[in-house]
This record gives sequence, C-alpha cells and structure tokens, in this order.
Amino acid sequence: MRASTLISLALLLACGGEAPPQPIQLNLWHAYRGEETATLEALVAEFEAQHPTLRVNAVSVPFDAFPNKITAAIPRGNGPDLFIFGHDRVGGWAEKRLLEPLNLWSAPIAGAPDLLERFFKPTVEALAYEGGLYGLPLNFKTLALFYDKALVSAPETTDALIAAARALRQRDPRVWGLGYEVDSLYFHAPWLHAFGGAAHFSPDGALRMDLKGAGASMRFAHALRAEIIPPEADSQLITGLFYKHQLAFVISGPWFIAELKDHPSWGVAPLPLVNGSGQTHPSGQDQPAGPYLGVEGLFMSSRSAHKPEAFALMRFLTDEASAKRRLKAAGQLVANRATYADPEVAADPVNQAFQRQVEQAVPLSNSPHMQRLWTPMQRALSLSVVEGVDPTESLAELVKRVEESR
Amino acid sequence: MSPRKPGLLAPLFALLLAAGAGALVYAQEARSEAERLALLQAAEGPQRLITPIKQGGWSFPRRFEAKGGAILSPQDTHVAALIFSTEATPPRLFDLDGDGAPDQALAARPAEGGGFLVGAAPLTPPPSLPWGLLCVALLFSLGMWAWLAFAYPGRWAGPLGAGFGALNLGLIFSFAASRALDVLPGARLSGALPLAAALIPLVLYGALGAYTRSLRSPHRAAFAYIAPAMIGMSVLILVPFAFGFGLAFFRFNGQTSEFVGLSHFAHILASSGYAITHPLSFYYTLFVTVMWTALNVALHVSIGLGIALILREPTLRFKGVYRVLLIVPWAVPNYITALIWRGMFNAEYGLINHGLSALGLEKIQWFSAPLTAFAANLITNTWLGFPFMMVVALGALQSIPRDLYEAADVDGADGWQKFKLITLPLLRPALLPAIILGSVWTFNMFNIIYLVSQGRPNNSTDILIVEAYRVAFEQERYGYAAAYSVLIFLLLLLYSRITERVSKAAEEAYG
Repeated sequence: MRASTLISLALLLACGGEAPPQPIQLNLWHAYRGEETATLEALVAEFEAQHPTLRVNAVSVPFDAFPNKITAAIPRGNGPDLFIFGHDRVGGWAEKRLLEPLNLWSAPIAGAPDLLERFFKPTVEALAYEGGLYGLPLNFKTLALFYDKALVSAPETTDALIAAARALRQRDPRVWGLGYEVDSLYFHAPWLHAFGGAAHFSPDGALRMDLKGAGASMRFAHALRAEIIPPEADSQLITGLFYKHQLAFVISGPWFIAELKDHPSWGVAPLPLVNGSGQTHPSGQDQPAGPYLGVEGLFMSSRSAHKPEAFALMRFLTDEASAKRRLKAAGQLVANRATYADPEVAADPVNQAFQRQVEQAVPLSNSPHMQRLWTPMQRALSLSVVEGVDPTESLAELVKRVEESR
Repeated sequence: MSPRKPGLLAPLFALLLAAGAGALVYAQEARSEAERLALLQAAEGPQRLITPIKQGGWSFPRRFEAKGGAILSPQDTHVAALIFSTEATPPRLFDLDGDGAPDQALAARPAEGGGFLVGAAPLTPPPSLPWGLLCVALLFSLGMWAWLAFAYPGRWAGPLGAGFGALNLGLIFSFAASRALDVLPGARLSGALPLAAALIPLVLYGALGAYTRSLRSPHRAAFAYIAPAMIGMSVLILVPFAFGFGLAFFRFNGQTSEFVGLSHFAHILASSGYAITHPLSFYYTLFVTVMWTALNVALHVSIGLGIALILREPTLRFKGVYRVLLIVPWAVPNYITALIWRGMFNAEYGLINHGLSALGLEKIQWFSAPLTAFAANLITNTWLGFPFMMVVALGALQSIPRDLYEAADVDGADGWQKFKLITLPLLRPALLPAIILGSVWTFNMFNIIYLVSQGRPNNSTDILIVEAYRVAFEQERYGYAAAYSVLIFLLLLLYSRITERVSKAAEEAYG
C-alpha cells in the first residue's frame, strides 16, 4: 500500500515537473440553445484542435439577462473575451467603451484577401457606429413572406396579395389573408420603409422621421387590417391559423421555420413590392417592402487580455467552412456570402428567398436612442392601424413622447 | 420602555461618522477626477497626427496613417480605440505592459484640417478604495454597536450605539454606491451619489436611534432575535430602496446621469402633459389601479367567504375533494393561468366567445374596449385570488365556537342574524389582515395586467406598476421609472397608515 502511494506520488511529481505551459483561455458568451449551441461547440472544438495552446470556454448566458451581464461584467474585467449578440445594442456598448474597435484588426493586408469582403455588405455596416467597426457579422435575420401553397402562390405585389386574400375570403370567411403583429414596429417596418417613413436618431438623440410617409404606411396597414388581417393576432394565433390552412400569408422571420416542421405545404418568398407608396424606386418599379435587418455579431471585449488570439477565433468562426456548418447544422442564415455559392445551399428555396430579401432590408439602427422608440411606436400603431385613429394625431403624440424621454 | 429623549450628542455623532464614510467615497471620486484633468493637460505634450482613410466603399475608416506616412498596425488598437471616442469622453487608460494595471493614458482630439491629434502620458494609477480598511472599520463598528447596545451600561450607550449604527449603514451604503458607479457611468461626476452615501444613513438615523434605545429596554432579548432579519432587510431592501429613491432625481441619457431634482415628480404629477382622461396620464392610471384593487378585493373576499361558508355546512359530502379543487387555481403559477385566460378571451378563437355564440349571444371583442379588457383582467385575477381568502376564512371559521350558534338558535335567531352578529364580527380579526395584504398584492399585481390585457387597448388597462415597468425596461428611462415607483410607494404608505388606523379602531371595538 505505502509503496504504491509513494510511487504514484513520485509519478505525479515527475509529471508536474514537465507540465506543458498553461494554455490561454478564451471565454466566449452566447445566448444559443439546442442545435446552435451544439454547432458552436463543435466548431470551437475544431478551433482548439488547430490551436493546441488555446482553450475556448463557450458559455451559454440567458438571452434576457445578456445585455445587463455584458454591461456589468466587462468594465470590471469579469466579462468574456468574445460574445455573440444582436447588433441593435452596438451603439450603446460602443459609447460605454465595452467593445474593441475592429477597424485596425480587420484592416486589409497587402497580398491577402480583404477579410470584410467575405460578408454581405449591409451586415457589416450594421455593426459600425460613429466611424468604428465593432464586430464581425455571423448571421442575419429579416422578415420574409411565408405562404400556404395549398391556398395561394407567392405574389409579386401587394395588390396581388390583397386580391388573392379577397378571393379566398369570399369563398370561405373563416380564412384570413395575412398574419403579422400589426402593432409592432418591427413587423410594420416593411411598409414604413416602402412609404419613406424611416425613423432615425441624430447622435444627440433627436428623432428624425418623415411623418407623412409614416402616416401613409399606417393608413395602408389599417386598410389591410380591416380587410384581410385577423383581429388580435399574436404569434401563437398566427401559427395556429397557418397550420389549420385558415391563413394564406404570414410575415415572419427565419425563426418561424422551426415552428413549421409539421406543416405540409409552406413556402417562403421575398416580401412583395408595395403598390401606391408614392415612392419611386431607382429601377422604375414599385417600391419594395423594407423589413429591418437584424445582424447577429461576434464582438470582442475592449478589456480582453488576449486580443490577437480572440481575433483568430473571430476569423475562424466567420470563415466559409464554419459558416457552411452553421447554416447546414443549425439553420442559421449566415452572413458569409461565399456560402450561398455552394450548389446545395443555393438550391434551397428558403435560402434563396432570404438571400434576396436581405438586399432590400434596412439595417436596424444601432443607435442607443432606438430603445426609446419601440413602446411609443407600439401605441401609435395600435391607435392608427388597429383602431383607425388619424395617423397625424397618433404620430404627434409619438413625437411628443419620444422627445420627452431624451 | 423609557421615553428618553435622544439628546443632542447622538445625532451630532451620527452625522460626523456618516459624513466621514460618505466623504471617503467622495474624496476618492474627486481625486480620480483631478488626475483625469491632469492627464488631459499632459496629453498636450508629444503628439501624433493620425489621419483615418476610408476605402472600398465602407462607411468607416479602414486605414490610419500617422504623420510621415506610417500606417498603424493592428497592434495600435489602443490608438484606434481613442480615435473613435470623441474629445468629449475622458481619456482612455491603457495597459501597455499587460500587467493588469493601466500604465499609460492617451487622449485624442480632432485636428484642424481632418484627422486626430493623439497624445500620451505615463500614469500612476489612482489607488482603489481601501477595501480591507473599510471592511475592518465595518466589523469594528458593528462590534462596537452590539457591545454598546447589549452590554455597556452607561448613559453614553444610546447615543454612541446610534452613531455606530449609522456608521454601519454609511459604510454599507458606500460599498453599494461604489458598485453603483460602475452601473451608472457619469453619476460619479455629479458627486451626488457619495453625497447620498452620507445623507441617507442620516435619514435612517431616527429609526436606528429608536431601535438602539429600545435595546436598552427589558425586552432586548426579543430585539436580539430579530437583529439578523434587520441586517438582512437593510442589505436586501433598504440599500436597493435608497438607491432607487436616489435614482428618481437623475436622468440617464445613455452616457451620463444628470441631476434633475424633482422634475420627474413634477412631470408625472402634472399628468405628463396629457389630459387627465388620457391613458398615459398618472391620474387615469391611478384611477384604474384603485378600481382594480377595490373590485378585486371585494370579489375575492365575497367569493372566498361564500365558498368557505358552504364548505362548512355539516351535511355537505366530499368536502376534502372540493377543498383541494378550489385551492388549485391558487397553486398553479399565475403566469400560466394568465396566459391560458388570455387565450380564452381571444375574440375570434377563444373559448369564452365560443361559449357565448353557442348560447346565441353576440361575441365580445374583449381587448378592444377599456371596460371589457378591464373585466377580462378582473375575471382572471378573481379566479386567482379567491382561494386565498377562502383558506383564510375557512381557518377562521373553525375557531368560532359552535355553542355561540346553538345559543343563538335557542334565542330564535335566523340565519342572516347569525351571520351578521356572530360570524362576521368573529371573522374580522382574521380577515382584516388578509384584506390589507391582498389589497397591497393586487395593487402591484403586475403579471395579470402585463400578460392578459397587455394594457390593451392603448395602455388604458395598465396599472401603475405596469406603467413603471414600461418606462423602465421598454423605454429605459430609469430615473423617471424610479420616480414613478417612489410615488407608488408613497401611495401604499398612505394606504397602510389608514388601514392601520382602521384596524386599530376595530381592535378597540371588538378586542
């Protein structure tokens, strides 16, 4: 007994003497679940295999708590080296100096392909704020038009959509034409932008919005609501109706695909061109609907102690091979352009639809002031789109409320 | 308890100690601010002109040229970080040798004719708060406080004990404030938080002094027993409460917090510039909240009491089964109940409208009008609320002696007389606290409103707490929301004072 203890102790000591240098530990925070986590962990393992001196600790942080954890942990040095999150908070985080500017990290090097050229351009621009580039895009999210192939085909214009919905409703009044959350700015944005009513904030927080265009978009949506959109439609109801073949079109994003697993006849197409918007598109056609583009970015903490290593992992996770795996295994709409050249990916109608849609999408502003717009806008939409109050009235109140919150 | 006056020395001593704790934090802040200013001056020394260059059609610069044509390399990220902060932000501290402590401060400002002038200055890092010392001071003063309060017999015990108690609070608050500075950037510049660190313990002094003096009373063993709870309360409730209270006087605009005095309160009380009947007016929301609370509690009590009386009937069979079934609504998590009821109220597909049309009645668009939406909330919360009152009433009914009823029967009293003259008065001591508790719960019943009507139509069914939530977490106006919460607190304080009077009067009448 004693002899064996001694031997094992000696062995331990011998090993201790020759211990390899401590590997560098990178912390990566994400809010993924399910397949997305599994894919990310597989990619991280591959990265570790390629870089034996690096260890990556991928930690899943609950989505709701994520922004607060980032703002609390990074300034105190407890934060991650890298993290993955939506781009809409980039402005606020950059103002608080939580993010490492990547302008120099990603600067073009002579003789090598430019790193930023691998992405769709709008997805990169969404991560820039006041001259700084603060992240690399992983995936994008935007709205597209889902439709029930058993009832309708994909329309080119809103007039065609309305006509198809009318025909259906005349045959069976239980069937509705279109489903989306009418009082949410995110879902109203396609019409808002088509009518030229986009909302921006100046750096000092003043709201810039073309109220005429915004009002016109609300009147348009109210007409839709009155005729073809089911009342009080929230996302569960919309999914339920779509499954029962009682809803022809749904405006939703890639997350909706997961809910359609057992639906026999769904298709997806870019959102239609908007008739009667009064806006002229350079192509001479009607104005396309302009949904918001949301980008999931990979960000580096300004307090990271291992920035070169962290940037190597950023390059790795956004390259073509990784993007392909993320798209195929986790169903993410990746921002890496080259991925879509793959014949298998290109043949997929869902990828096609979203890839075409991203060209029309309007990057969601990453200004820290954007947060002040959502709730007042919801009320304005609820007043004018649902109840038909004159938009001049609801928008005047909106402007007042947003101004107040400065 | 002896009604001894606190004396003059006690508050003076408390003031000194608490102000000392606050001043410590304040001096720390002032010092780092002075150093920052010195750095800005120093950065005027050796400077580099750096020109950002856009290329490739991107909206942000991708190359940076230092004077003389040198291009910055990725290793110059600290320079890049500077360039993107404008001159208004304080200079950044950089750890160039990687030892974890900053050793160089840089400042950049836009140069004439484009580009940025970047300067650097070596730095001796500002010392952090002497945490060890503060902890020792806290332990020492806690010990002193306990000793003075429990063991030391002399006449100085009261004042000194109160003083050390205030010092404890001051230190605890200073710890909290220094953490809060990280959460609220910019607040440090106003100096208001350190000031609050000194003032708030003073405000609490009165309560504490009374508490300490009461420790001299013969019942001090009882006070010793509740001391752990008091300490827990002060850390978990008093400190966040004080922080929220302080927050109500600030406006946070994304980068800095600015002291705005009472203007949030004034704005809220001036109906936010809306007509009083507008759903976003404080008075409208207050009216909805009061109606909500009064109707709910009335329904909870009458239904709960009614069922309790039925369940007490001696001839009723399967009582246990009913009792369990009736408690189920209470046992189910209220989020789930709320979501189920919201689905049932859906105008087109909800169970309730299906039922109405099966009966040949017209469907109701529940969430399209304020009254019906309010009714939907009320029905849901009644479903959730009556079991509690039922349980309370059942318990209280058990304790009413049967012989009282028998005597009443002998006297020829009818059922209503027995209820009015025996049951109700004897239930009162048990029901009154339950009603007060229930009304405070209902007043702040966030989940039901937020999940069932969601404020529809147009915030007209929101109650005060939901409105405060929307201001804080949907619009991120934390100061304004804090002011809202303080008003809610004051209302409930007023309410509890009134109910205290009422229950005291009741005690005198029936006790």
